[in-house]
Amino acid sequence: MAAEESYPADLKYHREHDWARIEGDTATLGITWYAQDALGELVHFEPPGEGDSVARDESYGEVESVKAVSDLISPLSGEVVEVNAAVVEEPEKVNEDPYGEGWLVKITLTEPAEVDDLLDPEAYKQLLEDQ
Amino acid sequence: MVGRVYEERALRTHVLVLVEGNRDAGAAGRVVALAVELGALDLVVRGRCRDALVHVPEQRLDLGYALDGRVHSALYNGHGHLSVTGRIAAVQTLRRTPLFERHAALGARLVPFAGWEMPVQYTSIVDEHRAVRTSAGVFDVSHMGQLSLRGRGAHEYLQSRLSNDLDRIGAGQAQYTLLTNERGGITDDLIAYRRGDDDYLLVVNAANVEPDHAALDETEDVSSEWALLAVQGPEALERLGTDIEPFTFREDDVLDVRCLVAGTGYTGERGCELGCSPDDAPSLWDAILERGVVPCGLGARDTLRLEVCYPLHGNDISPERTPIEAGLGWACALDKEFTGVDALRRQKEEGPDEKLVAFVMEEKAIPRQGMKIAEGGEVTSGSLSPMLNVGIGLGYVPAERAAPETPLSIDVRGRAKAARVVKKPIYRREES
Repeated sequence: MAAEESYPADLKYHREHDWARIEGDTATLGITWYAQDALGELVHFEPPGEGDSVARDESYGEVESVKAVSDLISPLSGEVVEVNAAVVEEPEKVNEDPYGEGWLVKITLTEPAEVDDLLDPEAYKQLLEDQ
Repeated sequence: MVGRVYEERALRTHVLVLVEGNRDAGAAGRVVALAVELGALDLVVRGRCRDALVHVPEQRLDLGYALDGRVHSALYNGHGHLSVTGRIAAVQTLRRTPLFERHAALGARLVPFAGWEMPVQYTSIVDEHRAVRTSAGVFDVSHMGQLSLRGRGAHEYLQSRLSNDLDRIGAGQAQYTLLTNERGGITDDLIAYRRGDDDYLLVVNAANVEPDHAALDETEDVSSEWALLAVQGPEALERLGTDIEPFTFREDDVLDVRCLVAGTGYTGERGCELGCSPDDAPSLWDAILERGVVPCGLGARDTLRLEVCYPLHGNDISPERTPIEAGLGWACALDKEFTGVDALRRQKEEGPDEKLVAFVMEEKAIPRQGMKIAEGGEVTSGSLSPMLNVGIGLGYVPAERAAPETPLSIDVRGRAKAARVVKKPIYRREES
């Protein structure tokens, strides 16, 4: 059921264990394999509202497992254009497919230059090793 | 990601760190790790940390028992500074049950719990929970304590100290009962096994062996002589090839191991608890797993007991709460004399100010221990119900708000979420 550990090459990473898939001026956000593994099976996703502003390094929502609650930290600033309603209904999709069906929100970027500050997979994996 | 560490792990009273804020999770985790490493018995921190502002509406350190050290650690070093200070016990290593190697080999996630290193889950709390509701699961509960009292006067001694009426059980029968203090507060909840007229074995919570033994000073602490496995679920007895009536027990061979077989448990399912010698525990465990019984950790044990509203000492009941408030009056024989009975009679007569109720969330949200209830009182246990797939909990509310169907509002990290009082238990198997 749980996914195999991986950190796809086409994504950018934030040190709070969030990923971003950049496509033009929009980004899809989610949490990394490491984050879902640390939390355990997710049972609740408290999403932001569509149209809400999110700021880099700030919380934009929460996910909960049976035993833990975690803030979702946005890797980039922007405005929420879509929430993954399928994950609201079935949060375990994040465990099953953290980079695919388990995406959380899509945002339009208001500070596209912030992308340059994110980590590539190698740097993120190094960060995990150093923990 | 992590902005809060909620429970690592609040089962019993080991360590609970409840920190709200954005940047403090790593530090909070380090505080927990340090506290555990140093042998903290209980640690509760509440605060709010934001970039330019630090609120500490409530900050409570609660380290019980005999303590002789201090821990001081900064949780946050931004523009503000929130620190946690508490006393800790002398450095101690976590104890391991005879099955520790088995848990490690199965890849269990091991956590400190009441001074023991215990499996919280093997695969998934939800899967383990469902296994117990639908087939059979096995729990290592060897951390629990055993106190023994045999010999002339044993019955009379316990009858004058435990809340329930031991005259109602005979040899081979077991009873849920409470050890209360002079104020009627609950020192512990336990099961008394009557082996003979003047011969009892008490099974008590791991975290409370010391206070229980202090209050029942004539008993002998025989915890180290026992390993204890709970095999629970509708198919549990069948898988073991045995049978036992609820709240009875006998000595018997189960899967070729000499056991005390008891029709007791903490899940609301049929099943048994098997007490055996620590040396025999690994082979008994192996034989049980060979019968297709699913190994289950303390995480599932907690969600299972919560669905059926069995109180957890340290969460829902404590020395500060009485059986009358907790809805455990049925386990108190107020027509006999025992420690604290006068206070309980008085409270029953006057009616308690607060009562422990079960509730379910009406909105998508998961209640957690310590959350405020707008109508008064707070959540003492909360989780997602794996069977009902909604947030459920127990909490104290003003007595006039305790009737089933009463609406409640739970403060879920600043958001008011609707809940409703329900009749206990929260989960009941549908009658077939």
